[in-house]
Amino acid sequence: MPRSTTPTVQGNVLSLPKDEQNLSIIVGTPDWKAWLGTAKKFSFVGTRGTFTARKERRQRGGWYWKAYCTYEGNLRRAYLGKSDALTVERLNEIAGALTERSTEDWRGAPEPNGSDDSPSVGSAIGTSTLLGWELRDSASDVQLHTSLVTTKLLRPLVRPNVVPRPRLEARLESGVQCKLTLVSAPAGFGKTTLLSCWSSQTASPVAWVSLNASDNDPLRFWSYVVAALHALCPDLFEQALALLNSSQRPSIESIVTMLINTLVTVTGDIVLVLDDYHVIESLAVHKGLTFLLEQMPPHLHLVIASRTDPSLPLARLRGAGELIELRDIDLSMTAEETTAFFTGVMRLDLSPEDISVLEKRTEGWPVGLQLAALSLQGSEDAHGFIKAFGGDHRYVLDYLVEEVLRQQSENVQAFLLQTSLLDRLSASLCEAVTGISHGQAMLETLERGNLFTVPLDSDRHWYRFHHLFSGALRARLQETDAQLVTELHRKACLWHAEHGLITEAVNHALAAKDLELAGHLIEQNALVLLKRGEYIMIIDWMKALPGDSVCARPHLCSLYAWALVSTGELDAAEAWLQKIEHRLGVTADRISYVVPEGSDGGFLDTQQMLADVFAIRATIASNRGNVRLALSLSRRALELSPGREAIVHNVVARNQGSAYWLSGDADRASKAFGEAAFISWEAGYVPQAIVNFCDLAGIQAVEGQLHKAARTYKQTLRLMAEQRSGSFAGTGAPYVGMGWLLYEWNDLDAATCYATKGIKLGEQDKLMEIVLPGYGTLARVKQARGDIDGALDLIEEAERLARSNHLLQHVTRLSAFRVRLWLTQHNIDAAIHWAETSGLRTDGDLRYRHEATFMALARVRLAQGRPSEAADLLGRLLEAAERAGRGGSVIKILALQSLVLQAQGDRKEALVVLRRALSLAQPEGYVRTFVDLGAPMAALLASFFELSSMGSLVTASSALAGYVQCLLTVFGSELMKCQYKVGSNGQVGQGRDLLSERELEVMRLIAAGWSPQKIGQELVVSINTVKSHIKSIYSKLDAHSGTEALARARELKLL
Amino acid sequence: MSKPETYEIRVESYLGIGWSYCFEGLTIHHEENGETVLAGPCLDQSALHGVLAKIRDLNLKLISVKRT
Repeated sequence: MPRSTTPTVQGNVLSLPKDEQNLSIIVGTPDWKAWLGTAKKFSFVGTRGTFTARKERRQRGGWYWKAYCTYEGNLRRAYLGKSDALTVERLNEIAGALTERSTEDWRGAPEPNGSDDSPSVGSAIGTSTLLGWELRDSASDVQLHTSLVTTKLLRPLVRPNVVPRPRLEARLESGVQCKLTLVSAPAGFGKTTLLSCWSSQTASPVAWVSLNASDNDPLRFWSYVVAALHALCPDLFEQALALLNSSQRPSIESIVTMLINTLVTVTGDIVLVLDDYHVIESLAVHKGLTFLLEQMPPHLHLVIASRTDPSLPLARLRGAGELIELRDIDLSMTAEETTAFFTGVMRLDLSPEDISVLEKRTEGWPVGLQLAALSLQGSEDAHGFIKAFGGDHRYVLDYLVEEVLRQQSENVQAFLLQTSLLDRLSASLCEAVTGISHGQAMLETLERGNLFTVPLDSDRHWYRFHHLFSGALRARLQETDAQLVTELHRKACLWHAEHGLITEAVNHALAAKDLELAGHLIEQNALVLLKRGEYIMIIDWMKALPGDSVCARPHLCSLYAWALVSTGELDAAEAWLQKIEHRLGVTADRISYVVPEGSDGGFLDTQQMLADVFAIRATIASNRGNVRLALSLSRRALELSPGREAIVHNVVARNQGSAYWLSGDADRASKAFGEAAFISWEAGYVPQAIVNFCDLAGIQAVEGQLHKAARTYKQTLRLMAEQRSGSFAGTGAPYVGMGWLLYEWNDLDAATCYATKGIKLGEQDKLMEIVLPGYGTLARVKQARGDIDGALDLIEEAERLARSNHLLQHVTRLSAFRVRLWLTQHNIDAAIHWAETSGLRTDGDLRYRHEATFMALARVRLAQGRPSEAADLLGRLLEAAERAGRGGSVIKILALQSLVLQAQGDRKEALVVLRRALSLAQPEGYVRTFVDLGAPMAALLASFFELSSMGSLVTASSALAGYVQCLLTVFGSELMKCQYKVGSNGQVGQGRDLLSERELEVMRLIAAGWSPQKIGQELVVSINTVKSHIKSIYSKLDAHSGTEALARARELKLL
Repeated sequence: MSKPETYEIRVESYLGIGWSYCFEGLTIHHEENGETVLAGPCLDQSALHGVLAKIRDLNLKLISVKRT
């Protein structure tokens, strides 16, 4: 494009072509912004580089600018930002970044499908994300950081009657010079009040986040932090916010790194307050915050308020003089503050002696002093009150709450005590519990009277008491009238039940020890609870009920059995089924019942109960792998409940699915699981639908249809997001499944995110079948990053979990993976020992459930130098996989087969087999299946690439050649990383002393199939230098050819 | 997995017996020196930590925790 027609920014001045009226515009002025609104592109010429900027449309609407330049023949691009973000600094920054990045980082990174508003500069798009793009995009609908509650970002308002505490505010002010200020003290010490007062008057801008338990999700936590900072400086944090709002789920590292990079550019001091940090238990959040503290940008200052000391490197910060602490001893009110509070704020005229007694008795605990002041305000004899208080040994709260109560009217006293057992109060609920008729007026009176009553919404519909206040009231009620407590709980239960709040209703019934009522409520709402999948809660409740009372209600028994079976407690579920059968007076002969005439209950009801029993028994049989029994039980269930109960139909379809799957008919299996998913979804059994969808996706993945599987997971996640009825079990499964796909696609960050999230959800639901595969994926990521020991640790932990939960099939899979890790470590002895002691018979059952184990065995044989045994085993595995339509397995087997053939010296056949694997794998974007096979696969792929481009031995379409090139690039970057790892850890083995660092680097690139020319470009040295390195490697390794050198290097464990 | 044990938890100051409702069913005894002892049924580790957190939240001074 000739310069004359393209508007050009030079330095900070935009020059327009002559035919436009304004000849020049200064960047950053309102004119500049107006011009950007209409412009499509411009050139930028700066001191650090040049580029062309183009405006591009986002898929979801709106525009952004992108920078393009050609550098050494490669097209490079970078995200510039929205029009508002285009400052002179930004333009220069991007120009610099575009020219400074190493060639490797930019090559071939495909254009993300139009919805890219993620920043490319600063977080280099490495080759590892290469093939993951499409998926990241398709996984994008997951809104993990959904709605943020903006009130949590508001600094709590300062109440008017607060004692000024200049000594503490001065400490806080001096803390701005340090990295961290920690305000650590128990409840009632006025931490929030102090910080709120100080932030309202300090010179530095303050970003505030009030945390609660749900912020243990690291993404949520950091979303709040970024949102709080963005509220402070919208311009600066625009990009960080865009990263969070981008359709891709960002990794925590990328958020924190971006945050730090942004904060570095801040010019004045910024304070970030995290209030109530004690609710954070998540190690991931602590870790992220520790990272932030370690890399602390100079102008940021962190203030943490907590009831306990947080898990941060406090000792280190203290030692470095970077920590200011305000602890309970500091926050206790001094004599002066106590005086100021009683005389100045509360307008009480007390003698210094009285004040000193109060201060001693409460030990300066602010909430205690506040209660004392409240009592004194209504007391006629202040001195007498203080004398009595000072001479008493009772817990401050007990004593003072009693005093405060004494001064209220009888009505108010009764109201306060009787509502103290409610977590939340509304007028209607209070009226139902206390029997008074003016609930709203009463609540508003309490709020005005400063009686620790807090409105929860602006309509003043819901209130709650300060928890210390209600706790003391509740204790007092318990002490004076325990009988009444029961009665009040019962009333609260009825109100909640009437308003459809089942969980609260049942909890109040249990608290009232009215087990009959609790049982009745649970039974009545059994279907709702089952649909919501609140198995853990159901089981907890059932444990609170006496066995007899559960037995007396067969519907409760069957609910309990459903919950137990759904959480994998098969034996316990079975015991309850026997109780139902006993109750119904039927005798079971496994697949049919003899129903005596005139048994109790209506005929239809009995029939329905039996259908449930059959369906649950079918599920148990299926979980125990007895498919035949499962199918016949399912059919019986269906006969008893024709067209009525979706839950029964669901079980039938599932059992059929597993039967087809085990008999090797993947196609019909996926149809059956799809049907089960549809049935359960239609009937509102969300958790069952999720399980079915995930099983379906799992089958699709094994069939080798990765994109289809991703779509199924995506659909499941969308269905989950649409679900508004609170929590339900099993939500971890699609995350874990997605994590596995992302791993195969080599998007390691995203895979970690998804697997971690899935594990967390699975742990919450105590569903180990979800947790264990998640661990598998995390271990694979560690292995891919070269951390074999870390991967082994994870496998060990997972195996322990699998054993303690009797999930033996998972134990087998985990052991198979461990064998792979041993082989990666060249620990061949351990692998052989496993092979010899595992009792595996190579002529054994080759069905899918044993596939991983047999693949591991084939690998061991290959490593042992017994390739013909490996070949034989793989041949039979391949046949079984092909017959069953397991395309994914076919690819894995073929890939390994090609290495076996190579080891047997049949290079031509190896390439032919490899070609087949690649053609099957390319459309679905498999990466790790090949890359995890390590250097031998890299070498084979390299010769495949070379020979096919020369047209000898094998042929490859251009798409296939491109795919192979991509795989080789991933290999290249991975082997480079290994190199750096060795260097930085200083773990230098024997053989490693032989070669210099540089020679090792060259060696690894050769192993990855790189040509000397390419190595030269990569290491920025001449081709002659590379050749002399190679010569030196050959002589040191006593090798005469590349192949020999590679073999020798492997022997010495250099690769 | 730890097995539940019985504990004796001692706090400073005289705590109303009504508070037992929020201490996992532990009973409250008062000592002559004005201290309070919480004791009673078995607690597993997470229940024990729940009790300790509650003591912290009430700003009670913890004197000792003893396995009995």
